[in-house]
Amino acid sequence: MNRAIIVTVLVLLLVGVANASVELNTVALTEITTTSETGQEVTTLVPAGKVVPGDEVIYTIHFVNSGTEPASDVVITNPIPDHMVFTKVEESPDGASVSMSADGGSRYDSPRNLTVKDAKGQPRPAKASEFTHVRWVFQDSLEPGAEGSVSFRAQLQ
Amino acid sequence: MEEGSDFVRLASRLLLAAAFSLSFVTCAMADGTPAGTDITSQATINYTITGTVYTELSNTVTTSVAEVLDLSLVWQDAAPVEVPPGILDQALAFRLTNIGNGSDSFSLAGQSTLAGDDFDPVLANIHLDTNGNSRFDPGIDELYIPGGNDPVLAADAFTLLFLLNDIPPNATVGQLGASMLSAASNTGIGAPGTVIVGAGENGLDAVVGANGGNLDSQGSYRIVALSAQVAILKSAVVADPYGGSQPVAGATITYELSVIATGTGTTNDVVVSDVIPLNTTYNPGTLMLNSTPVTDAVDGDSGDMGGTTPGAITVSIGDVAVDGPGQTITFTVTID
Repeated sequence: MNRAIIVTVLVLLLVGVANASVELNTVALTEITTTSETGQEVTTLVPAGKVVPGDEVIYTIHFVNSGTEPASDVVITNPIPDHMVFTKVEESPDGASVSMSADGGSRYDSPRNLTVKDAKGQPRPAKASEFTHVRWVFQDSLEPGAEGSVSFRAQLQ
Repeated sequence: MEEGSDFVRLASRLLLAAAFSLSFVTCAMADGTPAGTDITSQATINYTITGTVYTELSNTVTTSVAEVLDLSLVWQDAAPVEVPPGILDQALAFRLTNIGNGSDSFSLAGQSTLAGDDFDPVLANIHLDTNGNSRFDPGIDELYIPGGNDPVLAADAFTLLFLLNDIPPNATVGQLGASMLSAASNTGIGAPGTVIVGAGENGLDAVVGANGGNLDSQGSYRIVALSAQVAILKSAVVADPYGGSQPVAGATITYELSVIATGTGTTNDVVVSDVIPLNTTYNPGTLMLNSTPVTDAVDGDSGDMGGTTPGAITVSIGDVAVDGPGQTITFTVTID
């Protein structure tokens, strides 16, 4: 039984590497605001190496189809990191719909349709702080060479 | 329970990670995320090429949580503390809370020559709430020594501090006098957002929080008349088991309550009670009025221990006249 699992994993990983047509790269950024010489406030994005409670981090996931075949049924999923609360979706490609999960990724829906159970086991609307995952479902195929980004913001508790 | 090798466990985890979205457990943090926590994020993509479903993971991006230096300092007395003129060592209580996300120590300072009040109290000392009962206990609550016993507070922990002032004899009834306590992070102060590289807990970078790492808080006294009142001046003498005067376990504290009336007239049927401080034990048979022993039991004499008022000595002094002699109650306790 255990050997069978190992073999399955190895095959999955090998197949995955050999056919890695669509690649993802995640970066974490924070905004810093500085005042220019003319007195205007300028906001720039810098890599989020260090954060403190209350800071907002923008997670940007870059995707590229580096293969030779179009990819269909594209879905990008990102768990809301531990210790962080989802604040908003920053960036979505045209034709992609965003859905959220409030139960660890079992069920995805539009945020207004998501519920969690209250202390008495009755469903109530989920709060943004209870979202566990964000997901982008692409309507269109990703042609060879196509690339873009999805991103969301979350605040450190 | 499990006989599989580490490799099998690792392989199982990889399989789970590849097959499902990562399950997610919300940590029940009361306050800010602790300094030193690593925040990781990893995206997953699913797609289909010519009928085959693929799943890929992105790189994992890691952001570390720096130590934020922040505090709150709040005066605790609900209203100006009422004091007669000329009384010594009157305490204002303040609550210092570490609202940062790592352990920090704080230096303290007092200031009593402030503008905007009617008289200046005379700054005496700062004391720590050594026995944690939120009330100033002479002889038990340690004297604060800058740099010697700076309070060390874990993230979200708080402590009470007592700012002691003497009230000048020439202050008059109704006057207000303010006194200010200041607390500053020993890790660093500065403009909010200032990064102090490597200064935090375990060598983490520290970031100055919204309050700049230091805060002031003011409290005040209001002068009341002594004429229709008696004043109780409480003093304490500590004798430790080693011949010194440190308030350590086993040390004996002798309390002396001097009851005097000033102003005009006589106050009748004066009853004094005084709670035995937390973390101390009353020494049976040590209660005295004007150097004459008073038994601990509730009986014919003028006082008792714990009978009339639970956990306190109670002594009936009777009438206290302005021109009469002062009355002195003494008893001793031992620090647990």
